[in-house]
Amino acid sequence: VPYGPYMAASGRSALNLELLARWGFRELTRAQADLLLKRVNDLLASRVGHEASQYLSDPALEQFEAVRLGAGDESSLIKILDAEVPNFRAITERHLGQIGLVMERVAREVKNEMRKEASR
Amino acid sequence: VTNMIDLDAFERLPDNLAASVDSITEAIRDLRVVETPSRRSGSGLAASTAPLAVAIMGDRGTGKTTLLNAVCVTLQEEADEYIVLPIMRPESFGYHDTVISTFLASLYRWVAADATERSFAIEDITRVSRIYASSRTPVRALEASHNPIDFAEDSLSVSRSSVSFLAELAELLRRITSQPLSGRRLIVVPIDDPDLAPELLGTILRDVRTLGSMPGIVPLLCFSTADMQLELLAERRKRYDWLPNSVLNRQIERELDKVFPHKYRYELRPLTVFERAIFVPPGRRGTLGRLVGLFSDSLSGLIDADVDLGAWLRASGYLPGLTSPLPANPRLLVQVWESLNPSNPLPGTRMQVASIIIQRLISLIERPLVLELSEDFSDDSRPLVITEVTDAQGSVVALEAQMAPNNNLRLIISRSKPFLNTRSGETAVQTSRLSGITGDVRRKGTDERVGLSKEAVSAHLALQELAVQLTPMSEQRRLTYLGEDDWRFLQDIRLSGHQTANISFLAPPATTFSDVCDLSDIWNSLVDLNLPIYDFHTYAKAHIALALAYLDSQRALRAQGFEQFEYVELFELALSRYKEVRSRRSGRQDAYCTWFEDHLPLQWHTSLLTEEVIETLAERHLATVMEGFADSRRAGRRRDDFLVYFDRAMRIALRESDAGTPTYLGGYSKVARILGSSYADRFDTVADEWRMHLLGERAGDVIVGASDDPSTSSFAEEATEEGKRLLERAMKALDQMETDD
Repeated sequence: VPYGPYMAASGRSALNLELLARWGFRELTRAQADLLLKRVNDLLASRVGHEASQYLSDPALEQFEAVRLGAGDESSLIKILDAEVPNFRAITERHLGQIGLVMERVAREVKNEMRKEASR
Repeated sequence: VTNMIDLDAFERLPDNLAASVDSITEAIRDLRVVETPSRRSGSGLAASTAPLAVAIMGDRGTGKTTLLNAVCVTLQEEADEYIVLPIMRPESFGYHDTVISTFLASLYRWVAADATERSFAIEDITRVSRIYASSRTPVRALEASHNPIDFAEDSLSVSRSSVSFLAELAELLRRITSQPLSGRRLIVVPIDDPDLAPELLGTILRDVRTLGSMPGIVPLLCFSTADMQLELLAERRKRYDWLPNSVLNRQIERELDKVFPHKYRYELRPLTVFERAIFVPPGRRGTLGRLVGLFSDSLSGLIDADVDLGAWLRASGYLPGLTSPLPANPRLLVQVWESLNPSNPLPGTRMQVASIIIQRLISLIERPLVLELSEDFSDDSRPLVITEVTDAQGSVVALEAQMAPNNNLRLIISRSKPFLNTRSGETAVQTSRLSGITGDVRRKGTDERVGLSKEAVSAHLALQELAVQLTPMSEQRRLTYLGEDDWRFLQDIRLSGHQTANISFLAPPATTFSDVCDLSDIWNSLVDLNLPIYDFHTYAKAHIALALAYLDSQRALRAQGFEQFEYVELFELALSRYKEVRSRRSGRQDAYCTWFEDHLPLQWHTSLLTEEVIETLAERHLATVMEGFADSRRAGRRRDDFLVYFDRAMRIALRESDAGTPTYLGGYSKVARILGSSYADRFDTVADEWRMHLLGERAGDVIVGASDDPSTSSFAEEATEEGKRLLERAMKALDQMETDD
């Protein structure tokens, strides 16, 4: 599923920055945050894409591919996509949740280490 | 010199003055009590204390003279307590007349009127008058004396009489005012408009001071403060031309303070809008508000338009920067009232009568504007010119109105709050209340701009109201209006994260006084609905509802009015209303049609509607509009005018400097192509890019649900050790997750 490009194009970085902040990554600079975000998005896209390909209907997958290659009817793709939103959302939320858990754990660990070093 | 008061004429007093009469008479009653024996203990000069005089101040036409008359009538009814002398009018004073001589003459008449009761006083008054006269003997008269001894004696007696005059007068007053049973009487000396006799002003004030310092006398003056100040200043300038005006003005104020203590000053303020609406000249029937309504109705019938001048007297309030265009001053208001009064029939046909009334109204309304823009207007160039159109028989069949073409007035609006930063990637609309309006004008031949008063701005808009009712907007050479730029200023629209030129939601233009009032009210009520800023769809519906509310002269928008409809249903409603009103010539309907033809399609962006829906709407829209042009049912506009506003708004959105076309305009490609805009080709170049963008956003919407909190997350300003380590570890964790998959 050519999911990554669309997600990258969606320009939702501000919201995702908020997610990063919520996970505990406020100590990053904006540039570092963008870098990390890109990596999160890539991972998410590949995981969602991989799983979604098993759920999405064939016409939707065909449309997706056609649009990615620059052909195809965008408005009908949007319709199909809208119809299959529940699947998409469920998959995405699950993967995002998994990533979030890991990221929160990382942030907590790093901060604990730093605190220990400082008190030493 | 003096006029007797016509009691009947003042039985009916304008409402706004009734309260003032009460408070002034009350003050004079207080004064009578203050004039206690302690003030009159002893006699002669010792008896005089600080002068007391009551002043009624106000601009020309605010009703000072009426008030003065009313106070005198009221006090006259209490003859046991007050001796009210006839009102003095200094402008009719002869060369030798002074306030004191007139006062003595009036007092003499009062005494002589009842010679049996008051005979004791006749002799006294005659003596005091003689003393006063001799005290004023000019030196030149004494020079006729036969020898130096005579001259010396004469001049001595003149100077003695000046001194004895005050003492004699005080004694005379004591005798006249004392009554055996009730307390002492007070002599009221009313003086009307001393500033109308500028050359005598100095003497008048001096005499008023003299009289005011006499126990038992209260001078009651009415004058226009500004005029009085000006005259006194002119007088001073002759003598002290080296002193700056500010010093002289301070001096004058001190002098006036001495004569008129602040406690006894009554300032008449201009009428409030509410008072203007309920204004009725004394003894007449029907409020001005009602007459304005009647006039609107009959004018509507005559010229086949919807005239409603009700907003000219909307008592509840105006947008800051506007006020009622009708005069605040009762004297002018009486003229407005009389002009509109249907029971004063004018000769001529209905059209001729309308012409006369409108001309009179114009001359009463235009004053503040002409006063402030005196350079632009003269006797033969008025801000609004009415031309009578006559038929072959020479009778007036129609009226045409043209606003002056040289007017450089611009309306500047202010908004109530700044816009928030929204999340990028969103489609969001933010609106702000219209919080005020100012008019500014470019001075002839310069780049200098000056602000106009709210009276002048309101007058201008009111004149435009008359103008567009008589001659359609499109035939006016130049009008001032709230339009595209103003609505754009009041909103911030992002389409999928793209900052736009805010052209999607333009309200109809507002050209007349009523239109500006109503539309700003409706606009603000829309803002007050607090629609969610990411709800583009509801916002679009609200905007159609706004135009419909405006057309129907409603003044507020309610969410129930449009929420239950689909966008397309509201469009159909707007379309059917358009068909109904397009043949009407009135200004507001014209504005609605302009909105429907050129501004409504600006909403049809692919962020809001799918391309299929846009295609259907645009085709129906075009067919309807063209149908009107084809059989010229659309009044006041031609085929060539179509898309003028549409293209003008689009041009703003294009980046002219680098000739680039912002991506979001691709969303207008469909509607521009169907309607035949000259920009359709340019939009096509970015249409594909926009489609991809929109698709991406739709996909993105699927991933992360929208959050309503637009707060921005703050990150570290500089790279830290902790940040570096966080990044490293997070990247490693993500890599790990990927390999686990």
